[in-house]
Amino acid sequence: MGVWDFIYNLFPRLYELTSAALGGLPTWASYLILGLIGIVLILFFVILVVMLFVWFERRLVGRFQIRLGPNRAGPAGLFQPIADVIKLLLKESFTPSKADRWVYFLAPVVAVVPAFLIFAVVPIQGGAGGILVDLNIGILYIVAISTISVVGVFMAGWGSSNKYSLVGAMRTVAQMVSYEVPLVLSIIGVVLIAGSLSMVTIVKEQAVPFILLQPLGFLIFFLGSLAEINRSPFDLLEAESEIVAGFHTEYPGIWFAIFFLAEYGHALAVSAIVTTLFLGGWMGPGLPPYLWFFIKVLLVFSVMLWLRSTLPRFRVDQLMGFAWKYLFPLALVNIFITGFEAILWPDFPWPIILVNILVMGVLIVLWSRFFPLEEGFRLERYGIGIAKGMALTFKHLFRRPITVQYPEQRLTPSRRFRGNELVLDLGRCTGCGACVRACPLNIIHLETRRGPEKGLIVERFDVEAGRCMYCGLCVESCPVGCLFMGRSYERATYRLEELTVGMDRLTAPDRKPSAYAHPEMEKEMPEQTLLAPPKGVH
Amino acid sequence: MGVAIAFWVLAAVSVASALAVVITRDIFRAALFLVLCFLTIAGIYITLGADFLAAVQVLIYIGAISVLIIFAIMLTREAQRGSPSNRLRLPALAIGVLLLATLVFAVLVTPWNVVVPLPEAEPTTAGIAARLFDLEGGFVLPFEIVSVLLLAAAIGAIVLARDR
Amino acid sequence: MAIGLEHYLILSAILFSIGVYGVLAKRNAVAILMSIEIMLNAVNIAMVAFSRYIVPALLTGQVFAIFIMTVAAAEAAVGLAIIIAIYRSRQTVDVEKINLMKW
Repeated sequence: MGVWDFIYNLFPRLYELTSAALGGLPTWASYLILGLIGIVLILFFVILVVMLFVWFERRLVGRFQIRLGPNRAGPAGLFQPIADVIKLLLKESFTPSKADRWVYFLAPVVAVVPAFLIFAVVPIQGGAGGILVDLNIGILYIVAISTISVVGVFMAGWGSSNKYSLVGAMRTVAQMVSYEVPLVLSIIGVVLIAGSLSMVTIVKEQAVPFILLQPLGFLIFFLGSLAEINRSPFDLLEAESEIVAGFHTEYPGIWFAIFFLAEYGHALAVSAIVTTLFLGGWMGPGLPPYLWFFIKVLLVFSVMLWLRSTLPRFRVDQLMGFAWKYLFPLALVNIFITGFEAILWPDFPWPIILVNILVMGVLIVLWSRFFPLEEGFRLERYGIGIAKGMALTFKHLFRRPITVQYPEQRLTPSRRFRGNELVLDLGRCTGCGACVRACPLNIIHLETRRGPEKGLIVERFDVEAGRCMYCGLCVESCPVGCLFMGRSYERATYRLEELTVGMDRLTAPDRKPSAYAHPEMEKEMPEQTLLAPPKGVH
Repeated sequence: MGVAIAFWVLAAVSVASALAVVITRDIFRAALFLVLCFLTIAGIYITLGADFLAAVQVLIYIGAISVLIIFAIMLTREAQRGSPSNRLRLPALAIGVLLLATLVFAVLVTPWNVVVPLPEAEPTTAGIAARLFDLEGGFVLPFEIVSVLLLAAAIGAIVLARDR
Repeated sequence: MAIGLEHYLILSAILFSIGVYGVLAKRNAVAILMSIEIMLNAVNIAMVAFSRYIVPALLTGQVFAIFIMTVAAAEAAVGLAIIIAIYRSRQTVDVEKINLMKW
């Protein structure tokens, strides 16, 4: 019983033990040491969880896209983030020649420090040890700190002395500043219901999780923070397939790793804030509270990845229009409605949930009908399209991945696959040379001689497989059906001579024919892998 | 005692960064020093026990006004000129020093009715709200007027800076 | 040593004088605006210090400081918009060159 109680209340117990151990010191010293221990723990765990998130993202986005994620580096690919960091560290570290040195070097620092500062007020558990410091302006502190990283983006753009970085930085700042407004306004709804700015109080007031009481606020906050941290589908300005990498173009190796850490740190911070504000923080039956917190954070992050793998990117004018014409007015209306409810029903009975969800549905449909972002943006078309897309990606989670662990596992190609190796059945070949004449590239070379009976004996049958284009005309033209296409798709050889395939290799027993132009062989061929084979077959 | 150390450090950094703002020739660095000045002033608010005001200072000054200033610097760049001083440098210095001397003298001479002993700093959010919306002696009308002012300023700024 | 009201007021005075120097002695209009912001911050510090040390229960100084911040934000927005508009037509933000109405 004592062990379970210790595990359940791990952080408060550790806090009590440490403060008891430091009991002899004056109060300022014990406060300082406890604070320092808390800071070191936070730094350690944030970096660890960020690396876990990098791995989790790549694996989960892979499953959403019906493929395996990285799984070679370490068991199930767990060391992939470490491999990424080592790769980034080994890159050549240069500085642009006309860069403003102080600004250029301080920019990543200013971008990454706010991501860590946010964790000082994120409650993992109720009680004295679960949060570093329970500020009574908790959520306002978080909002204020996240505006500091905007200055870091500016510094990165300016310090690079690259006009494209500068333009990218200005656009990124415009995006971040535009989405801060609906973000802060949606927090006000939560604060109205909870009655306090302190994070611990907000969690404790969630007898009913605020996602049900404030569905519109949750949507606005979630989308706004996705845009704040420049994640898909709002990542036009720094995505990998765009031409310039935005404000961090000129940052090599380790500096880019710091921006990368900043982005994932912000993603983790946003997941933690959404969990605290809307999902009920650490509360849940059975498991220890910090485990519930972590599960909820992972859930929120998975929804972010779900959106990332489903939706295409916003264009930059659509992005700004979405913030100012759609999210911002809806956030204002949300405050009005929550204010009314706070006056009329101050203790927020549960039927308000239905009222709120109904109001949200009506608002979104009416707003998009009367104030469309562009002509032709019908919510029915786009909203239902988005929902269908997300349902499809969700179903992909349960499919077998299409990619396999090559070369240990190989996929079976189609039954009538035009594989690269020709297969010759020498017993039936009459040496007629129809295949030689049919080949458009003249790569089949045939030499025969008169045999003892009436007939030809084939002496040399060479195919220059390096130049073959797999048209299959030779197979189709053979009158006796002695030539087959092969089933293999691996055509690399080590030496050039091996590309010219002679008779002995064309008739080798390990060459398997495919059923191209030979429909009578189709039933004996193994079934193609991609057509969802039964279980047990790879 | 910790408050005293914090105050001296923050005061020194804020004065140094303010000096850097008015002395530097590179205007972007001057803007960055301004951001540092605002940060330290937020720290000074915390030593005064004004927690809500410190968060609002960071949010408004660093999050909004500094971004505005940096945008304006980017849009009005004269690469060669930067931010030099004009020919009124020495008279301005004299006026500044004179003003400083007068103010310091006034501060040191006046007998302030300081509350002794100083009460503990309390969370101020609820107190500020109560004071703002107090029914008698409250600030509801100025609050509304300031909202209209902000609206007018936002519309005016958009109209002025619009591309024709 | 204990930090008294005079410390905060002298800090506020120093920042205010630095702001005054900046307003009078800089040529770039944006730099002048930055100095005005320093002056407004100095006044805010004085307000909050007064509220803390003389009538701590009333918090009037902090309310005033919020109003000053709001007005400062509005004024910075309009001022910068004016500077941008001037830059568009005169291609300069040097206040010594913006002298069309000088006699």
